[in-house]
Amino acid sequence: MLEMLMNPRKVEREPWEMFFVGLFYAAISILLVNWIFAKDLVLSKYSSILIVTFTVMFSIPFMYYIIKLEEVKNIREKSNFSLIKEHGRALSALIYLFLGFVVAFAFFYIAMPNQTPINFKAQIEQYCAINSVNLDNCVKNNGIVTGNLVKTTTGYASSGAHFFSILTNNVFVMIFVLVFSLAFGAGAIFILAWNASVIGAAIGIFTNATLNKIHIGLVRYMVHGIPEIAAYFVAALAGGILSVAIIKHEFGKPEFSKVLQDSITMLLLAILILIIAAFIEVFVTPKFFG
Amino acid sequence: MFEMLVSPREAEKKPERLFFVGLLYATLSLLIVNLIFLKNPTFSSHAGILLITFSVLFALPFMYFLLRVSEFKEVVYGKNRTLFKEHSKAILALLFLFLGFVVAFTFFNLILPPENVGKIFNSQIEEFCRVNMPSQLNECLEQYNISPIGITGNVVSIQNEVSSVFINNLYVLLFVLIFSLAFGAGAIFILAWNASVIGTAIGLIVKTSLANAGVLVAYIIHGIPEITAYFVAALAGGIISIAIIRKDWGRGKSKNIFIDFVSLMIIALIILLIAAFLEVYISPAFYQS
Repeated sequence: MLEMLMNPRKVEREPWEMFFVGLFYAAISILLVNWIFAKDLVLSKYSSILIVTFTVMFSIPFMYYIIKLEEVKNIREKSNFSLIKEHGRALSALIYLFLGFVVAFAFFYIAMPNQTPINFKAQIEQYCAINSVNLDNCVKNNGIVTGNLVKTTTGYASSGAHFFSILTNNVFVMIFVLVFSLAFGAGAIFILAWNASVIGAAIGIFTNATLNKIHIGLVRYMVHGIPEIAAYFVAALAGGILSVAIIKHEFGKPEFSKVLQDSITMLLLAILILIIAAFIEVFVTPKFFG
Repeated sequence: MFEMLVSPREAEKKPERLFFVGLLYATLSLLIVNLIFLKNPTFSSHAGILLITFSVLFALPFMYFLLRVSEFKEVVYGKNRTLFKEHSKAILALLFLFLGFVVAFTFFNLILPPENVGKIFNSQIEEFCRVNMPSQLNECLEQYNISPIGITGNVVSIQNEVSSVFINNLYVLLFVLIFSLAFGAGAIFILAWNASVIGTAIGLIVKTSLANAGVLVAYIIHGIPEITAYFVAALAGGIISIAIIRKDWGRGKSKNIFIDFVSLMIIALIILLIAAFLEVYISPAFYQS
């Protein structure tokens, strides 16, 4: 019942409402996982992934409806401009959903300090793997006891190298999102919810777990985060509408080539947005936040 | 695309098809985890849970459809019907899905190299060791190359009374109910998790020695009614959840839906009690053999 508290059709008219849906689903997932699995000696070890799993499960009906609506639009709309405008509403709904996730995850990272090493274990490990030269120290400083992590970052010789490294990494994520959404219409939401949880943890770490600095952390990560995530969502929609078209056995029909054309346009757009996001991340954000 | 390879409508007509759906989805999930996530150090340590995550994501549309059909039957044919007969197809479909998961997970436990089994089924092996060898937990985990960090031994007392087995299973049943109430298809998570643990247990036992086959029979004897009870509870919770979503609750149809919910829950409790009885009095004979 919680997955349908808000009608997806209504959300398309008022995309900002998805922010509260994201906030609510991420919060409910954290509370459910903490309440139900806390006493389970095995599953409690995996809370950080279970939180993402449940957030995804709650969000899947929305993803389905949105992708289905978008696929219908693809066939109905004539001009590319109006099509992009139409997809834009779904896109902003998904970005609001993502923002809701990020704020909820950041809030619970800060508000439940005793649970943080359990609730955000995988996210802290991922954050440290991306951002820290000394991985072991980084995870230990954030309360994680672990023994099997491998260092992946070695530092960058120049901003240009950093830019290309970020861009390559993000293009890989985009490819995963595309493959996931092709394999399973709404599947990309897993990667997006996972990224939201990592950013939530990163905000918690950046603000030293101080609640009244959460807005600074949000700005720090959202300046490049919003275009980056928008690119992933564009790729998810491209894969999603193609997946729905295949399910509906439109393969070979004129409708299918229209969907395919639209998906390729959307992918090119996603790559362009990713380049802009990587530029902001490497050259703009550090000027303001170090 | 893969989530719709078999139409849920067809699956309800022919529940046995869900076996192959379960087989396919568990296999796809394993491939995704193996090819994409195992190379990432963060994700690889959570591979066992990711396996469940993707199995659940694939199975969600089916679960939704079955619940919607069941709830529809409540509303339309609410009177003069045989309750269990009406829902039996949905329960059977879920059981076949579950069996498909179990067979796929068992198969991969048997054919994959031991080092990969330890990585992909890490959380399932931890659960297997915790339940079956609580006093030698660390030795059990090390046998499968799993680091014992975070789990302590002696966590489970050996249950030999019907009441303690029943109460333990009752907790799982309540979680299934809460999950399916909160999120119509949510109980599929607990069911997929149980399927993966059972599949791993069967794989590990058969690998050790075929002479241990008696243990498998013991698992099946009490396992099938136990899982059926969980499915009945999932269906009961799911019907209420979908009724609220579809706003059928409170339109004069609440009584029928509620009576069905209570009846299904009573049936689930009776089956759970029988399963506990079988676990305590019948299964041990096969363990000993």
